[in-house]
Amino acid sequence: MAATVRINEYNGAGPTTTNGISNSNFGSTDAANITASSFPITSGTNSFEKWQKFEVTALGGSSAIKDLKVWYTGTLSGSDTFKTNARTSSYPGAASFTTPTASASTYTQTMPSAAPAVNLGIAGSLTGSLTGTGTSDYLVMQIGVNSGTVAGTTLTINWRYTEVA
Amino acid sequence: MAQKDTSERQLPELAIGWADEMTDEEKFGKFISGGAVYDTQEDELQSVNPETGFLPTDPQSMGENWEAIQQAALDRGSEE
Repeated sequence: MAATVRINEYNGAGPTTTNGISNSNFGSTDAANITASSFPITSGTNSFEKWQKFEVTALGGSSAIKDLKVWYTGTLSGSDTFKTNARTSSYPGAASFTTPTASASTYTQTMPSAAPAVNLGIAGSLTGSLTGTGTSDYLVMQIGVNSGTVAGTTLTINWRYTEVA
Repeated sequence: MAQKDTSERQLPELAIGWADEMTDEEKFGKFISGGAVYDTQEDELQSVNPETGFLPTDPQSMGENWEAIQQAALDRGSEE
């Protein structure tokens, strides 16, 4: 046995929580599991932010979950930007939820394109761990779309965690 | 992923409605899982996901690669 985990997304002012999301498509609306082609992002503007968390729903016999790493693979189109709050040093603690916006995000770290060191905290710390069910800090992400963008770019967002038996 | 039957919907126990039939105001602060909407995260965790057929606590709820995901995470733990 091992832990059972999922990714949840938070939308609207409530926020409304969508548990176990099936995609992380960015678009011009603040909603989970969107069809990207239905909500295109105009060049020169930003996607709505994504606010997501990693959740452990069952430890399954493991004693702890730790070392969260988030990055993307694939190639950004044109001069698009991919910003986040995830960072491997000077981590400022857990982000406090604010309604996702399509204005420029206040989080301006560049999302890594290869597996980084630990870059998303638990309980506000990169060295934090979950020893029961619970969630990570918020991961905030936003795509900035440049005029050179080609429609239909696909990236993969990777989440990695370590289980302590 | 299994398709929801939209012609004759059976609400899961504890669910208060379906996300695609509710306004954003009605969903404010609620918890959505597989299209069903719950009042609390605890209610949602106790309910079988109407799309996957699994409880959120079941390892199979992680998707078809659930065994590989768990093994890779365990392997990283044992390396330390």
